[in-house]
Amino acid sequence: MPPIEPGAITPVETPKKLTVSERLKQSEAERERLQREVDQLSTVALSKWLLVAHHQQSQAAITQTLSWRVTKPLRTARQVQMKITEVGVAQTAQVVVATLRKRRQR
Amino acid sequence: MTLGNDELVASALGRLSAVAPHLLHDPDDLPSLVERGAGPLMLRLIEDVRATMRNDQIWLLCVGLTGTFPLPDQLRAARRALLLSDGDLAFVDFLESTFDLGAGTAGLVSDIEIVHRGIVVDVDFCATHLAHTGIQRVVRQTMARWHGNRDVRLVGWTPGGLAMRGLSALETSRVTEWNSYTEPASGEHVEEAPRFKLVVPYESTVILPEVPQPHLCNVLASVAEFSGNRVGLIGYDAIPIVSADTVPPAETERFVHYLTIVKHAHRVAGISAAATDDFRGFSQALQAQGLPVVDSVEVSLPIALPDLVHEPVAEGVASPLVLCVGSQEPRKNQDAVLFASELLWREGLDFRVRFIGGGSAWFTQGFDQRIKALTKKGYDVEVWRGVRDEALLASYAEARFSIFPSLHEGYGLPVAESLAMGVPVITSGYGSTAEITVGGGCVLVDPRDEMTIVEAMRSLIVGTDRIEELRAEIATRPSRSWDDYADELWNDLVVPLATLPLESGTHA
Repeated sequence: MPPIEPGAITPVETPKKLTVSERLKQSEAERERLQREVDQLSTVALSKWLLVAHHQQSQAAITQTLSWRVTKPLRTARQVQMKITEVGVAQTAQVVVATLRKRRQR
Repeated sequence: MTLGNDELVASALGRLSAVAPHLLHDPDDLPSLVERGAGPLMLRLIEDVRATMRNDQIWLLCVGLTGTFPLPDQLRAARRALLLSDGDLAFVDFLESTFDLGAGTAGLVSDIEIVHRGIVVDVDFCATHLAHTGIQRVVRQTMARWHGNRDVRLVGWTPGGLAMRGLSALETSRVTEWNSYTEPASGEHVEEAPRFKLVVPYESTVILPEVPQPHLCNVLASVAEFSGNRVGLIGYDAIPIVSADTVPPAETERFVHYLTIVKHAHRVAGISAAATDDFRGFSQALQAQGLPVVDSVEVSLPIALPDLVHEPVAEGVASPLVLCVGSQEPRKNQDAVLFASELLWREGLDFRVRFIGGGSAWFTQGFDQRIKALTKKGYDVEVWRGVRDEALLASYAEARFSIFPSLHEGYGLPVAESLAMGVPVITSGYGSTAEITVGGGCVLVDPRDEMTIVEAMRSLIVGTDRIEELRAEIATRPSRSWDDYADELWNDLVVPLATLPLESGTHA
């Protein structure tokens, strides 16, 4: 360890002791920052709630329309067609029968 | 309509700002809370409402958040969520409990206007329909006098019964200016009703002069039970319950739901002593459920005519006209009138019979066949449906007498109208119709004994002196107008409610 040259060491600057009013100001600033954060989070939470509720309402409005209801057989036929492509006719027929049975039970 | 997030938040902030002055412990905080945003405002509102747990405040907070009036179960769910939640999570728990309320409706895009300590009158049916039978006549005659002269707010409901809303100019005219009102031709541009500007009564008086439509009963029951508003209604009759055998089953089911509103209402103004007794009886029965008795007061309908100037009809050479006004249904006993008429025609008496009034196909199909059969036999009988007041008054003016042998009535408006026209009446000798006949001008019959109807008709068709006697009695009857009724209803229904102290029950 090389010897330390005299004068090479500068005294470490100790943090200035804050006065009570300065500490209070600092705390208030921190409190305000946290408050802004809480405000923002609560607004985000509320806005998400509004958006999801609104979309659910819009979706319900669509599925209740006459056009949505009268085109239901077309959508069902398309689903069956896709299932046949995926798993074949025999398995699709089993799925269809099971689904119809369940519906009848309901 | 799909909106962006910013629009939804702005809309919610507007609604929450409108309800906040009534919910915040310190309303002076409102500007700074609004500046901070919808989230912080909602947080504070939940905190302040949790501190009191008043049902009326929970109701108002639900409306502010969702733009929808909560149903009883939805309000209870929100209340339980607030009670069960840890303070820090109350915000989340409340949002969760009201999600279905918000997601089930289009209220999230609505603006609201609070009517605080005012008078709100629900005239939804009259504002949106052209029917003009008994109840609609009462509503339109009364509102024509209240609107502009009293400080009232007329409201309807948003589609699906989500919340109260203001009326368009056309709708207002349909309610308050019926006699000068003209329905716009199809294709003509009509001002849209302000469907998404909601009207929210708070600590107000809500008057229900109509029998609300079935889909509104539950939400109105919630208003009566939880919202802190004092609810008063006109009690027309309890016929669908006490004379269920004379109405279609659906009518009885509908009325049962209506009674849920009555159950939680604060005051009922019956249109006759008989109707008031019916509602008083129902109210007494509520004690078994630990509910308070609903105040019932009698405000009888007037002996008056629609507001039209009618031209006197010169006595013609045609045979005497017997007029039978009223919706066509078994309870009104039109079949007994047909029977009595046929018997008298067979005896050789010369007279005409005219029925005026609508009816559901449930009854009119058979009734029309019976009319057709009599016409085929050469008897002079006709049915007028969908006629306006001018034609009605002209018929009264032409009639020798009218006949209204109803089995059960809440009032018996055709009897009153006939007397107001100076035309003698044959009517039932009990209940509300008998009440009207005090003062003279009427012949009372037992509507269940058809031969008494035959005798009464015969005496008035052949006996000119008897008709003159009855006309003289009518001339000396004390008068009571629609003006009198509207004033009395205001003083006996609205004023006592408006001055009623807020109930501790709604604030528990």
